[in-house]
Amino acid sequence: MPDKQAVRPGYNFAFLDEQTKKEIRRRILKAVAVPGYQVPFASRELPIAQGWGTGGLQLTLALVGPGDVVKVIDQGSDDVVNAVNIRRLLLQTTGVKTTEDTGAATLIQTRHRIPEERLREEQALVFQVPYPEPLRRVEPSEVKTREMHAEADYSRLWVFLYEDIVRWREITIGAQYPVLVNGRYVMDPSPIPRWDIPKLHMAANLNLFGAGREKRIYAVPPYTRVEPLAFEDHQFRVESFDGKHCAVCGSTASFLDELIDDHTGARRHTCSDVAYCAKRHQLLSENGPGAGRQTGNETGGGA
Amino acid sequence: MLDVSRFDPVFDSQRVFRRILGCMARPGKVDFLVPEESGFAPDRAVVVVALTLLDEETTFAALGEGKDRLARFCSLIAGSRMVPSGQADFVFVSGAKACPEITDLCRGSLLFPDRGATVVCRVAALRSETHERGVRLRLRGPGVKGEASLGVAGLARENLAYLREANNEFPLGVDTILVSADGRVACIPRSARMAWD
Amino acid sequence: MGYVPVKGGREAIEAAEDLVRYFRVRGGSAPLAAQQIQDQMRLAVDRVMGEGGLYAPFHAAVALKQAEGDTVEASFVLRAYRSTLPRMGYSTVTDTREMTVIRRVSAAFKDVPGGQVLGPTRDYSLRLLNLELAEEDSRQIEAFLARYRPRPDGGERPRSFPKVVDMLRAEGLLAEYATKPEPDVIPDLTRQPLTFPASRPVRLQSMARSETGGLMTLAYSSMRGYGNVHPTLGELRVGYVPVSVPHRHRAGSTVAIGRVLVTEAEIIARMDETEAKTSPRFTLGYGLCFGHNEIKAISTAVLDRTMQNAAGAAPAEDEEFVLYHADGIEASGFTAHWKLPHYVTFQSVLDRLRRMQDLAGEEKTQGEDTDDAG
Repeated sequence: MPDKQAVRPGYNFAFLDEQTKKEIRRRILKAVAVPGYQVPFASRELPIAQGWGTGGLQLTLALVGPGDVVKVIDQGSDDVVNAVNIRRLLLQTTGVKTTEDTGAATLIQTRHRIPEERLREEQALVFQVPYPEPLRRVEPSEVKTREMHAEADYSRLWVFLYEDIVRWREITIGAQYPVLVNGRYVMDPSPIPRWDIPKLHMAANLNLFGAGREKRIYAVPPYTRVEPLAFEDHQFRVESFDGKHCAVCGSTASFLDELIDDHTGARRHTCSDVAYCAKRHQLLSENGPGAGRQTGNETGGGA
Repeated sequence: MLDVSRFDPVFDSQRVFRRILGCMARPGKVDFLVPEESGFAPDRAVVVVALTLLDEETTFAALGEGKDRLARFCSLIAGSRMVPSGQADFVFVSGAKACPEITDLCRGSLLFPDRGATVVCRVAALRSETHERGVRLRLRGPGVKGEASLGVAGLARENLAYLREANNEFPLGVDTILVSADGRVACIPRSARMAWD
Repeated sequence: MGYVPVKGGREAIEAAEDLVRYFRVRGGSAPLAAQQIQDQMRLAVDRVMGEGGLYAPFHAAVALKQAEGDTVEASFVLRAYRSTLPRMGYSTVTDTREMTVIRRVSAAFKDVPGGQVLGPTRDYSLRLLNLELAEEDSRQIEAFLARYRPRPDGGERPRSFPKVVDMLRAEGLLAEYATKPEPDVIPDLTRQPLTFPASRPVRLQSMARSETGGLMTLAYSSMRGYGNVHPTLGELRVGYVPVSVPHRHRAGSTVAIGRVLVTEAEIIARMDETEAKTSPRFTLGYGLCFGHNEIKAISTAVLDRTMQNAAGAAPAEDEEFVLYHADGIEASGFTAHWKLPHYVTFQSVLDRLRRMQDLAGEEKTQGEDTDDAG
């Protein structure tokens, strides 16, 4: 049950007024019905700045109820200041239970990562999106990109990728790699690393995307095809961590952060998904080495 | 109809929305909108959907049986504006009788497919498996792992054909929320491919 | 990587909040009363109300205090507060002809019916830094107020004036615009998404909430020649307009619920050659914003006109360019968001760069091999 003590008085449950929630809820339903299509919405100002997760937060606030358990991550971590700040706002306006355990959450709001632990059917993942328009790379005008989506005319993006290969022999897009959803709409998956892209494909959970400043909502329903744009002779590839492992939990099957030692300048790596790493670390210390042996099945990355 | 004062605009609408969303994201899934023990109150589930999704920013139309009562409710309680069915954001239909207007509802445009209508369709009963008195729907597409089965009683086969026609030019189309007299809900988004026996 | 605290984010945030407060009050001077800000920082309050999209002078004053005078930050706080307020209803259309004018000037005519009313303006003040203000005390203020009487022909005395554009219109010199829309079909930008092409009411609503400096920059770019419409200021008015709402129980009648201070600008522009269909006429650009903010009203009016240019190629003529980039809350939020950690995306980009370097290395080695063979 919600923690009534934590709630700041004078505000509606989940901050937004009920008409605003209704509007967002109506748009979410349309986003789910047309996977990958960007639904425009009015977007409200929140007490955090635009560009800092207001789109994801508006979705979360329209979704959340007293029975939810919420997890908030930024760059894979529950403890980065921005994640802490958003969780604090959620707590102060709803009093709902929060968790760092991916498996225990019903609603997860994220910036730039998909948790390593596979999500289940009843969970919803809410992404904070800075640029909802995957065609912005090739066309600055909203009127024109909307026409391109209407006609499913993605030729300019294909040319962009092709020219990349001609010039560099590889597609140079790092994070935020464009995907084709349900065979119809090209979609921006938010700036998640390529590592996370395979996790979207036929996922069991509902994925919702909110761009507050750009005023767009879109969705990937469960069990929906999500294919990164690629050429037959230039396959899509996730980030390579060949020969590297997490210095904390030893994982060789998770997205790693690269750290530079303050004193020696030496590089080491740790899991970007801090909660996943902590869980593995605990498992290892309880059951000894071998307990954390990875089959590679638990993550979509590297698949 | 429903004693509106018993509907909590904050918490009931949140709960009802999440269930509708769960069903819209998983075509074929059946969930409860009103507690089973609340007894038989036809239209109660429809009213709950209207209170959850409609307000003064939306337009609606009501077709078929009970349309006048519903129209009064939507404009007075939800504050929504009644318009001809071809222009409405929400269209309430009664599933039992053929409703050819379904093929003339707003399907959105290629630029803005989200402007396609939401159909709220009243049926007698909804089950995950075949319903003895009804039609068995088979659904495929986003949200469905393989194929989903949905048993619906009180939905004329003509209406299924009309819905399929309305949705034959994806991404244009209408999205359907089926609500049953026994308080259950299931959804057929336009992305679903639909067949029936 | 000391930049990203692995644990303790909450303590860091709270410590930062304490520091903000400390930096505001550490000088030890008497606290600023919101009422003082409301009275004496009048133009900042007006600007914050406009950009915050909420007519609430007291709340705007508190927001300015909270933001230590940063108007973008204060507008942001006010807009966030606005998101929590339920919509009670819509007002009826206000006719600005009913404005109780405190200032009204026209640049189009030497003499206009009703006359030029300078009102409270600094336009003709010499901008000499007034160091006497540093010594101002309440006795001086009291003495001034006891001495000062608004002049009978202006000041605070309520009066309304014929509009310059009405006179031009009566002579058939002005292009005709759509008749007054019904209140229930006026779109509401804060409730419906901004899509393109945007209707004129949506453009005007969007600019009413835009950042003054952003609008000024875009309008100025047009005045200098990027999509020039050669404006003449037909009329600039500052004053109070009544706000009414429909009566809840008596259909057709309205109830006045108060008044708001607004600035209204109407600019008259030359006919565009491409638009010549009938006999040549002037065209109009319109701007209205909350409070006393003349730069904003004039900029809005200029941009309202430039965006009507059919085949415009200049930024000020492109509605997407103007409406997407002039909102201070959106622009400042995104500009500030680069301070957020981006190390996951950076790692991803790093992976690509290393791969490119490897490929380039391979190519070079291959090239050298070929050279050797040759």
